[in-house]
Amino acid sequence: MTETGSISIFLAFIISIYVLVASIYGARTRKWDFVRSAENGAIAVFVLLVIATIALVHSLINLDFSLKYVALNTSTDLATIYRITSLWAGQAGSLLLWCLVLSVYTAIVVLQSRNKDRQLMPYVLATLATVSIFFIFVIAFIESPFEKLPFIPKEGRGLNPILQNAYMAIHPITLYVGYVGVTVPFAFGMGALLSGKLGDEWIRYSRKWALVAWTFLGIGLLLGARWAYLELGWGGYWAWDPVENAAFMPWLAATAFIHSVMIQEKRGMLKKWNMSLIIVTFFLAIFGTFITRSGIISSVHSFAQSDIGPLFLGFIAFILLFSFGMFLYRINDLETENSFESILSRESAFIFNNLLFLGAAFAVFLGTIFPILSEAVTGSKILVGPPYFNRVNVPIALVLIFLMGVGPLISWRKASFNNLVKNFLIPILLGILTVIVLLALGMRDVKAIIAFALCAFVTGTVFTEFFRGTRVRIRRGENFLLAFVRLVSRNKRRYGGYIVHIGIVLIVIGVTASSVFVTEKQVTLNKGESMELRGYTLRFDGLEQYTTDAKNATVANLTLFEDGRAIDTIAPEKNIYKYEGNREINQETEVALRSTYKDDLYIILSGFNEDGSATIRAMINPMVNWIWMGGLVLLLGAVITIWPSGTKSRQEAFVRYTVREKDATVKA
Amino acid sequence: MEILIILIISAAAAIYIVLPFFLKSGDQGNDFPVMSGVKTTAEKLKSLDNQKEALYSAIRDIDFDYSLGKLSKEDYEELKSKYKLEAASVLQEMDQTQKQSGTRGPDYELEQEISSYRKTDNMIEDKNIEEEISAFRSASNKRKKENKCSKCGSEYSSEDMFCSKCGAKLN
Repeated sequence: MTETGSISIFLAFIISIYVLVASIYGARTRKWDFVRSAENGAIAVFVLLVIATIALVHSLINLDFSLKYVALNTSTDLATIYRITSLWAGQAGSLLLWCLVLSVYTAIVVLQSRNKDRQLMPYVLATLATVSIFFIFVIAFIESPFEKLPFIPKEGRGLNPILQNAYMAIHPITLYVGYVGVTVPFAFGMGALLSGKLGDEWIRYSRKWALVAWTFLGIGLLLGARWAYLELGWGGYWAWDPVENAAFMPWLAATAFIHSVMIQEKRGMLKKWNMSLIIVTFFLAIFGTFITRSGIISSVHSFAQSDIGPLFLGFIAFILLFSFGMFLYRINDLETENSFESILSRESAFIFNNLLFLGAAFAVFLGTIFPILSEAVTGSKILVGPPYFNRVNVPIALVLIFLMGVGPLISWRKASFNNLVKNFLIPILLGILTVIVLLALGMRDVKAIIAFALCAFVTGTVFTEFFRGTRVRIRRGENFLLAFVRLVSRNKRRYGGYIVHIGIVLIVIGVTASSVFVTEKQVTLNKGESMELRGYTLRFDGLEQYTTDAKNATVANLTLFEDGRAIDTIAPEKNIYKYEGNREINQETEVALRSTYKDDLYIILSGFNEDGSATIRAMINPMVNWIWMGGLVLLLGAVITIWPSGTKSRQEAFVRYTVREKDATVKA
Repeated sequence: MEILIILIISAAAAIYIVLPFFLKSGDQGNDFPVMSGVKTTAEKLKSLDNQKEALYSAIRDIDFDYSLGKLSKEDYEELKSKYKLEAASVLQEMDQTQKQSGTRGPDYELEQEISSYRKTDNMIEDKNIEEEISAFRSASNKRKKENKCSKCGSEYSSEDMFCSKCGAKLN
């Protein structure tokens, strides 16, 4: 199997080069059979990478320790599911996955557009092939997942225990689908630049694919946050770690892009801006992969490190030079059709939104690469901590939430005073009411009050939108339910977008509450002693130890009381794994979590002593659940937005219609 | 054994990739337009239909925005007449393309199919838009008929200052 795998990768590399050459040659000389052949090549690459992946997974499941990758990332005591997930635990495997995901995207793009947009598609395919060539080159010649060891070890090094978690099984793959997905809208942008077809096609395709990538990136980030929260045991879910930032930056840029393409669609403006945005988004995605994969910045995520750094930097430089070169070459074709008419319009709200998103992305970028810059300039690494990121990003986020409320209600081109009063009265009153209630409840944190008030404002605007829209339809004679369902299904993009906004509001509420109002306490308890924590009482009932094949575990048994009543038992663990995995970890804490919509009780066993006493770290994190709930709402909204409408079947009918007509004329 | 598998995989990939060179039939003409921007009738009609759809949806959007009170009356009317004008000229072009390519009138059955797709899609609004635009079109057609050069009798559009046929000054 391993030979088949490595040959498949090699073949995929050769064919990718062929795809690049054949598609460009075919498009330039109008020899369409070359383009067809290149398209078949792209499908072949996909099949070959599937074979290679199956071969590697097969070796992982069967623990073929003759392979370096298998020996480094698995061990005999590893459960089958984690043997499979160790496909993305190390460098070579995750790069293979990168290539596989890209080939899946490429195959979908090829199959979807076999008979469409023939001028544009060969260049889109060529761009996708170029990116494939680079990544397949890396796994074929530098970091091969099928590299053999000179001897066969009896036992592997094992999978890092903190990667043995259900979220770890889906978080990386979701994020990958997002990261790699950014390549597709970029490829359409490049295809438009290369072919000179800078009309509506590329923006239509790009928008759709950017939404797909954006959704996966966002959900991947949230799953990663949840994993960190459950597994890393420091009580939080986000730490501005370089690798978190790496995925966050393209997400920010993609968010800007999916908003500003609307202006190009509706008003024919901002063509240059959108083209630059998609190039920047792709750059940030590749840069993110580079940070994750090169180990250049130390991070809790540095599971995979090697010296492919210079190669990546070269590739990044090539992408930037080539795409901005093409951009300058076509700059005259990217002229705007319309001009700004008013500062009080949806266009300008969108542009503020874009500037803020890019500003946030730039601030995160700066903070992330600052250690490298400082090392290059002063010789010592200066780390930039969360205070920097929070200080810069919190105000930006607050203004963005404000715009999120304003944007959808303001009209295109020019908003009138009447329009403003009519649309914003209720949401603004709702915001002010929130401030009054929070002050009355004794809340004094200014930022938190502003954040909650803005969230109320946005919720108000979204609900008035739904209410007004439904009312308009009811007036046309539909009943309430039908009106509501049709309102959403007939305007999927608009109302799906609003639902996404509600998801974001929920996340902001959760993040604000859980970062501003944390209660934390660390106490060493003897058996039978208790600790108090904001209305809760925790009684320590003693330690317990057990051993499994994989680990030696120590458990602290605790009983939780609220208002004098026992409501739950809680058992945080501390584990010592027998095989340490590819990172040095002696002990791993298993957090005990009791989660409600109101707050999370987060209990960590920090240490235990010979005499049976235990050191317990307990935290109350308010409203963390709202973040995950927001994620689900966001996903729902995104699915509604992306869901294809009936236009495709209509178009197909139209094509059949014209073709049949043609046949008729030929016969006549 | 493994070598055999590898050989089969390689051969299958190679055959699949060269296949298009041997299956040329039909490719050149219909599906693949010439690069120079000359479109086939089907291509042209399709892109016009897309344009029409985009304009209809823009009109739907502003109708909806107006009914929600997000557009002032003047803005709404200005935008709407702009889109109506564009939609009318797209429809005009579609008619001309069909006439030029010598195709007959629309096939009834398929026309039904297309409009049924639209009906499930956008309910009554589109019908209204369609009616409005066709009324608008026939009105502007009538106007156009009157726009005939006094010298040679050929039609001109309202923006023209000189007749494109004989060069006479128009008023």
